[in-house]
Amino acid sequence: MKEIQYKKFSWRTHKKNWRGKKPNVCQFELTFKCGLHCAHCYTDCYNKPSYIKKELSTRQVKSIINKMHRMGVVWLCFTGGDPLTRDDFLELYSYAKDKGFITTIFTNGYSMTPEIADYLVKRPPFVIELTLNGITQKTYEKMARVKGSYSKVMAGLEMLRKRNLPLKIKTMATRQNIEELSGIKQFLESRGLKFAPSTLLHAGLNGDITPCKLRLKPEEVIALDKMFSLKSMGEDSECPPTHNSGKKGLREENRLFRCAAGGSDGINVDPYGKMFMCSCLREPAISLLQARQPDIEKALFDTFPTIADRTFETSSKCRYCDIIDLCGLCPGKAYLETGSMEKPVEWFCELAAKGVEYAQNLS
Amino acid sequence: MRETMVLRKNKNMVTRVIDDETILLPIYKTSDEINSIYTLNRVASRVWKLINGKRTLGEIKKQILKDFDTIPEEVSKEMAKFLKDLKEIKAVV
Repeated sequence: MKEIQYKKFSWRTHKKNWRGKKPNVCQFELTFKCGLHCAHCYTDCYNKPSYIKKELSTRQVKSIINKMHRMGVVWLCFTGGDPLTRDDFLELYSYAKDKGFITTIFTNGYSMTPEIADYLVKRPPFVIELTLNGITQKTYEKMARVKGSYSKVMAGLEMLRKRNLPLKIKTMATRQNIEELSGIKQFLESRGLKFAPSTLLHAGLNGDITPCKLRLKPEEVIALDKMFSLKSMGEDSECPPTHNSGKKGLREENRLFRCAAGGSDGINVDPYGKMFMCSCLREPAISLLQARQPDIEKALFDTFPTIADRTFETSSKCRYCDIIDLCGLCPGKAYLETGSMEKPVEWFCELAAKGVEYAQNLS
Repeated sequence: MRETMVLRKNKNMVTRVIDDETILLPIYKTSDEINSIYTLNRVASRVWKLINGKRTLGEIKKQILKDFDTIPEEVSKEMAKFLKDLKEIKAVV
């Protein structure tokens, strides 16, 4: 038996399967159901009973987990919506754990119960990532649009904290909570938690641009970057890193995707069992309920990488942009917001330009 | 370890075959706790499969000798080392 450092194993496994070999990571949206209705949320458009009733059954989720196991997925993230809203969450979580997945849970804490928290103490996940967008009732409930949500979320957070469960906090910085960000930072740090805000909102999965209207002004993003030592410029930190980063000739290659997209080692699955390349780009998709192994392999090794290797077909200004490496827009986000993977989104252009100004002032 | 001994697996340890390599994962370690994972060679992987809380170590050894073209002394040595490692990481009880 050979002992390998976990970090080395993780690095080696990601590297080995990078771009089109096999997926190591899966973000599985167990449900779009969520106790909150945040205006900036990109999945809330499907947080309605008419959509939720079409979501996967327990048996179907298990069947997909089995397929992921056969694909060799190592890291499995249960997300949503809020996965804790599923009555069978613990059953599915345990099922995945027993299969040997390294499991992460994304939640807002609203549906956390002492029973779930106690269970997680006995069988802890790798990490729980909890989104906290406000620390006052007024701000929190203005964002969540649910009365009484503040006290429930704070109780959920405390349940996890008191049980010493592995916890990371995320914050979405929007027009609605900008005044409270310093307070959130202080609140978290006084509890030994790290403040990790993100400013990159994108349109809803149904193309609704309401979330985009809640974006901070580019100069506010720069100010936050300075204040909290963030890095809002460039690709989304949650996306796989650019496969071409730092390589000469990227622009000449005319490549549309700067991220690794479907060619990375990650896949996404929605609550209906469809597998796709990234959380923003949901076409092409393949139904994991119906697909057989050869169909899955074709999607992973042929269809998705072909999309990821696409080049610009229009004379979009992004194609010729000199500061694109400072831009947080990607074809997926552009598609959700404009209906085209190649169309620029002015907010991102302004933010990148402000980033250049900022860098120039520093030097 | 005595050949009559019977070992049980710790349910918190799960094997996965990742890229043709058998890996022993401590699945309930958190991001703060996980330091190591373990890889098993073919013999160790087979021994792990055979540990079921019922078979004695002697029976497992016999099965290994059947499955692999090797001599008893080597199997004994390799099994002893592997089982010691498993005990150390609390993968078996």
